[in-house]
Amino acid sequence: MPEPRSIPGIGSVSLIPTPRLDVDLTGVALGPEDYFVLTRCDGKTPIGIVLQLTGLPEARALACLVHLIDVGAVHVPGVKPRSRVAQRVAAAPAFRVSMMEDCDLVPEECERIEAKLASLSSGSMFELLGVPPETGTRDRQRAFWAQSKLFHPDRFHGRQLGSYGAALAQIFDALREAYEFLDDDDRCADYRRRVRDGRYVEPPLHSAPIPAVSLNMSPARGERFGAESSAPRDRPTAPRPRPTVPPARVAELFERACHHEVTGELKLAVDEYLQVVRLDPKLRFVRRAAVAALKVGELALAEELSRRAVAIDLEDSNSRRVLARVLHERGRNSEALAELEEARRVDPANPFLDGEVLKIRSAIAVGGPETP
Amino acid sequence: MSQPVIGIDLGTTNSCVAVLEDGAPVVIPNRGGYRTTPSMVALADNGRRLVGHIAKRQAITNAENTVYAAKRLIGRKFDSPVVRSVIETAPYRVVEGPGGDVRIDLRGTAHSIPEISAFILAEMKVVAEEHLGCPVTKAVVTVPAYFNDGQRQATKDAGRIAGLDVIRIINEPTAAALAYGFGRDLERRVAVFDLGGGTFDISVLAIGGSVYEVIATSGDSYLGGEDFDRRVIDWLVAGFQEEHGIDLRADKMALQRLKDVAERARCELSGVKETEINLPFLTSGPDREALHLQRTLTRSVLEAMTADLIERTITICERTLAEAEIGREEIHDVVLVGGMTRMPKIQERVAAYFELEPCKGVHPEEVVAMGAAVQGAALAGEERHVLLLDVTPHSLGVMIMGGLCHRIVDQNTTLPTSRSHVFTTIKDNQKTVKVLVLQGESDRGDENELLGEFSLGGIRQAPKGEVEIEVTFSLSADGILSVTARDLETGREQSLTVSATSGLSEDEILRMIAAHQDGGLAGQEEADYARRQAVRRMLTEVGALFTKVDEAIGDSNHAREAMDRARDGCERGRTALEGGDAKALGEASDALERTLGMFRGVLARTGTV
Repeated sequence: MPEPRSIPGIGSVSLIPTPRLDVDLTGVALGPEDYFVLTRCDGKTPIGIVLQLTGLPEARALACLVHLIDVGAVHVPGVKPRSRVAQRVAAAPAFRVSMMEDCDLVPEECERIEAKLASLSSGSMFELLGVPPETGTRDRQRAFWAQSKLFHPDRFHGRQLGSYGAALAQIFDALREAYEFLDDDDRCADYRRRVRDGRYVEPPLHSAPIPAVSLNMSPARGERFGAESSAPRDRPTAPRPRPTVPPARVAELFERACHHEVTGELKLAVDEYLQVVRLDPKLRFVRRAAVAALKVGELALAEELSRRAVAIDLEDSNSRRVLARVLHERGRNSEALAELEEARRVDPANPFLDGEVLKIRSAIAVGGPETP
Repeated sequence: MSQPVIGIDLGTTNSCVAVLEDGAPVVIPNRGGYRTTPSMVALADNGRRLVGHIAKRQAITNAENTVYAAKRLIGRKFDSPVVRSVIETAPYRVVEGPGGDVRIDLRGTAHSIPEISAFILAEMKVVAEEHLGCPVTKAVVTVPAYFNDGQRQATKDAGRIAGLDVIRIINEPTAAALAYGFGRDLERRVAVFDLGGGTFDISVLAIGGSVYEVIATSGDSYLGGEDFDRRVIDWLVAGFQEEHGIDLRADKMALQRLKDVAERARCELSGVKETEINLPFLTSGPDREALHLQRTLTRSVLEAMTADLIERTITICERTLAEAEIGREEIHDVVLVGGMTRMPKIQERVAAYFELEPCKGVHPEEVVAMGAAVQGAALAGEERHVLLLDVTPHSLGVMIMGGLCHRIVDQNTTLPTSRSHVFTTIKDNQKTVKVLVLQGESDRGDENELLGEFSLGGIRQAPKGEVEIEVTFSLSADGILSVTARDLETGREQSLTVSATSGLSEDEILRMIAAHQDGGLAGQEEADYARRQAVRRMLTEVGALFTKVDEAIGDSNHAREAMDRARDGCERGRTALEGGDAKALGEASDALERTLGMFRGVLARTGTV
């Protein structure tokens, strides 16, 4: 029997990767492919098989696996996570392997694009544009133009680009966003301060290429397919919020809980929601758990959960609406009214608030007892 | 050397073609020696297709089969207000196409608008090929900045029918800026004021290190030279009504002649202070006596009757600068584009508004094609320095409940770009979400244009508001939009590449391409031949009618002048036929055409025929 194949940096393909369930993955830079590879690691399947199971090009799957090891999501006996800097460098070759096939770029161009793409996820917007933080508007514009000349897709028009086409679009998009973001003097000054203090957050590898500022971002707001938009849009220049994709198992559990909630098995749903919240205390999950607790009549729990939801994002009017409903149920109408007023203040566009206010006002008028 | 990419300015009234030669953009003159070609297509009675000057020359006598200003119709629906107004005023027959699009009936055959535009593009292609001595298949074509996806697509289709691969559509003002800045090491902010035959556009660009960054662009699709002409026509019609009590609008032939003189008078007044408008034998009175139109139009009267139109352009400038948060003092130069900007009052008003003398270095009718040629060379890799950072001219969004439009990509966003937004469901257990892709600035969905729709199914059972759907809009540098909707939990996704429709199906386009290749267009040789034939034919006809008209016309000053002009026209026709000069031939043909129109008019009015 031939000796099992070996992978540089990891070792034999017969090693078995184990998912580390104790590691909190919220906020960790994982992309959809990483999650996908993670789901294939069950603690029983060896690396060689895992790589095949993913259906991704091997180099790509391997890059994901290495990344999972690096962030601590997966453990392989004898393999140590590498430092953050090393990770970035390692990511680039994987990209190249999967794209070398069909493009007519010269190697220097490929390298330039790869290097820039890899740099999107590290460093500040100033580094992205290639200027020192103290640079003025004019020079920043010149730098943006110079970078555009290197990476705008039009510079490669008519050539077979393969996946480099998408890479160029992504790079240019990031350049433009950085340029536009910094074009606002106040924002730029604020960002400069944060960069000096080293207080900017690295963005997830596979998603929005804009570093920093996700710092104060609230989670994606439920903008209904339907309801009037609630969040005031601060575009054109503010980078968009991107929700982290929850690990598959949390999503699955949440899905089951929702299913039980709508099919009327409320007790079960509440239990499942609580599990979800323990795994991932994301606003949406907490708020949903609060609603379910309210439905089932566990008012104390509902209040605790809805207060938690409000605390996660003080600007979220829907959490306050849920809290108000809970307070109303507990007979504390004036407190409920105060929450609704606050909700109206933070989000005047929320169409559901007026009705609730009326309901509670009329409850007060009828003279419902105020329980302290 | 690789094949050159030509730049074509497909204008409402005139078209122009340019190419980069020895590192500089040059306009290619047509066979007749003109640097622009009228955007006119006609079908002569012998079934020959005429394009450009020869089409324009026979426009009065063959008004019903001569198409002008087709650009106003391109990519529009038959029931749109613009088409309605064209139907009322145009002498050609506008009919409804199978897809609710617009067709023009020329001698019993319905032609789509892209097809008509294709005839013009093909003519420009031939002009370029003759000049370059090699086949040309690639072009950059310009459109007004406000053109929507459908209109841009229709323009691309027109290119395909004409045998051209339109590698990029760029905005006219942007093209003008490219030509303005080309070869100069500038770093400044420029406003391009483009008032053409049918449209007004204003764009602001930052130029530096051969990079052209569009900062803002906006305009009015219903404002151009034709509106100015209409004011002159209205004035003439009203005067005539007052004097003779006859409404000239009822007479299509008279109206066509009015349109002609109005345009000529308006152009002349850019150079002189007053001009004589003279249309003998325009129509006949109640007793069948011949009625002439003779009036003097001064520059100040023209300015007074078009003052509000000029003000409208300034208002749009103001709004555009305000939206882009640019102060007037931040503009370093103003470039004037389009024939209308030759009008002194417009130059004056623009200069007053920007407190800047507009840049004189560029030729307003040619600068757009030159810019297109620059962009063509840049895309072909022939010109290594220039880079255009263009923007999306309209906002893009999706329909949300309540019929509202939620914008995802804002107007004036630099391309390429990709933006996303997370949406959620409105009903418990909602299984699908429908994504309606909209284009336009209105907050109400139905006031915007629907570019496409698709639905994402297989959404898990969940209470309303619990499902997160991320909708991503990606716009390529070509302005091609693809939209993806993704269920963030299941990862399931559905996407759509929005291919705007020009009103023509793929089959129809292929059929037209084939027809075009078979039937072909009258090449320059043929065109020349046709012109000679036309001059000969007209000479014969004028000769035959001469005595009759001379008797019928009576003995007034008008009559004598008219007959002198007729004689002169014939003389020029004969000389031109002997010589080989295409331009002289064209001018003679023009003169004969006018004479013949007048002759026919006289005979019809006096009842001699």
